[in-house]
Amino acid sequence: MSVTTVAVGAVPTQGVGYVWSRYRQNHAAVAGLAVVGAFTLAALLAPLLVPTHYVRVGVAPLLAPPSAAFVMGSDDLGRNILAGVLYGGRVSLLVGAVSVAVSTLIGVGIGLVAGYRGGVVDEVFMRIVEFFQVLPRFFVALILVAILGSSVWNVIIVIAVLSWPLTARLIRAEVLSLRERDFVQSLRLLRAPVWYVAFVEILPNALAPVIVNASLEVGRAILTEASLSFLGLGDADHPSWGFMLSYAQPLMRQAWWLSVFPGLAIVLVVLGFNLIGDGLNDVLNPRRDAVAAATAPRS
Amino acid sequence: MTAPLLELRGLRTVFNLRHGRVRAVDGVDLVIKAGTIVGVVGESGCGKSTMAHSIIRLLPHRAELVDGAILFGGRDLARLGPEELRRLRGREIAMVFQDPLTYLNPTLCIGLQIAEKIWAHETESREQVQAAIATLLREVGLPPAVESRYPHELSGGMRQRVLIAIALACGPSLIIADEPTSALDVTTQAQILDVFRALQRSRKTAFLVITHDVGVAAELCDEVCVMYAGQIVERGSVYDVLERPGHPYTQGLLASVLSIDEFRASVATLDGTPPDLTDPPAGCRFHPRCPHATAVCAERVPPVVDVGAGHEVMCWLKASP
Repeated sequence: MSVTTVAVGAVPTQGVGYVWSRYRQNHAAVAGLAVVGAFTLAALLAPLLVPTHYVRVGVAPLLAPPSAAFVMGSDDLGRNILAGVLYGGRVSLLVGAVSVAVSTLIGVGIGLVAGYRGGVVDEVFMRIVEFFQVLPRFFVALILVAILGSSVWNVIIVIAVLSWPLTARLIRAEVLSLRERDFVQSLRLLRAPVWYVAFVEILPNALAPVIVNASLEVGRAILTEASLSFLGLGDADHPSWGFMLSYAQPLMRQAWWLSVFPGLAIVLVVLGFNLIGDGLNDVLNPRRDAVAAATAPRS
Repeated sequence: MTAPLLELRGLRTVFNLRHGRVRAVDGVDLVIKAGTIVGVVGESGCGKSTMAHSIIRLLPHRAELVDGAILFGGRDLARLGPEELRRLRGREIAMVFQDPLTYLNPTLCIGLQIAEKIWAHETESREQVQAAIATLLREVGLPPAVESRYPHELSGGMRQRVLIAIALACGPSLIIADEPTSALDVTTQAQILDVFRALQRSRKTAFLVITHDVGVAAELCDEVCVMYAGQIVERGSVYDVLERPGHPYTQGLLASVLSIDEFRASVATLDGTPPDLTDPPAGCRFHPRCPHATAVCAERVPPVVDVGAGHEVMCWLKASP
């Protein structure tokens, strides 16, 4: 007796290609990606786009409104606002990206250990998570940066340390359910190495909500940094968009362009990251579809 | 007669629940000879799966193997330590489950999922494992390309084949299949049964197939055991049991099977439900539902009667007066 061999047809593959093909259908999310992409590119190419760095004073007439030569005008020290928006984007995006990368690493590590080990470890870690969650994030950031000094790296570390708990909770919740799944249980029975089960079997299945959260968190981190800078806790050596807003405040009525352009940049980039987050959530979070179907009005 | 591969003697497994002890498997004797396919049929909740899981000691926390011996390869599996059990599972006795999707990791390709089961037991080089995976996939009728696929890209039948390939990975002499085809449609089901039979022939693997589908048992098995309320009430060759059922429960079970050959206005059913196993009925456990029950059935446990050629029935009707 021969065994019937079945054929494998062309099927959509998993991974980046699949995610992109679904993400692409969400126009708002694509717009968000385009905005963030444009700002990132502009920030990287800043030296090619403007002749001088924003910190150089006297490169433009004082308090000149937007013109062909200085499209975003200049401030009372003769600094080019366009250069500020481009170079400031470097600082803002760097703070957003690095602080979220660090907080995601901390959150994933803590959440994975807590969820996988369970028991006392879980209890202790979750109490620590709750401790961080009840802190009023912005005021603690304010105090810490005031004490530690307002360098870019201090701001990054402070934001990262204050924003990992949500990631930890998301990962822990996923791991708790994945741990009981048959494919994990079978490997645990076979005494597969703990690192293998945790990183190869469980983690990839738990990442979807974390990726979504990370993209939203970048926007939040940029806002936090802008707020700190606005209150004068920005790094004066690396002026960010928030720093420019802070500088523009006393001149707001004479020179609207000092505050409008950096403000617009913050709004657009944060909006962009939020749209990306929502788009990724639609693609990566299957429960959303189920919930939508369940709550849809019946005809 | 060949020596038994697996022998269960008086196996008892209970669930310790808040409202009492559920005697899920209550004194089961079973012999599986090397290279044979033994089927266990019965309604839901009659202890089939619990018995199967007891054999490789894969029981939930509340369940406890309280009595009996599980003789396999000169050892009593009921008395093995955790490390010996780890080495046994998958390598000597493997399992195939009903729902392959819960058993396969959605984010890993099939090849790796087979490989990790091999690595759990043997230290083989990458090339050897590669070759082994290709052979295993061929044996279960899957093209080699499946190796780099993910579970969601495969159909239900293909996933079940993958599970069989994983079970085969370390060359076990016994595979326990718990409702292996229940989640599949009939055509796919037939193909999976073909895979089992081909493996029985080529590898001389023995199978213990748990199923509630009498049709599957008829198609596949050499021997059949009928379980009711934690006990085996009838056993014998597939022809004897299904052609000349001796126990009223088996007769009822067979009468309720739907057939496309004959049109029936209503389906014959067994009245009632299986008994509460925290407090099973005295005497014959089937007597409250049995159309032929007499006074003795409610009082004394029926004897196991051999009605010919190893066809055993546990019923007072067959007991010689």
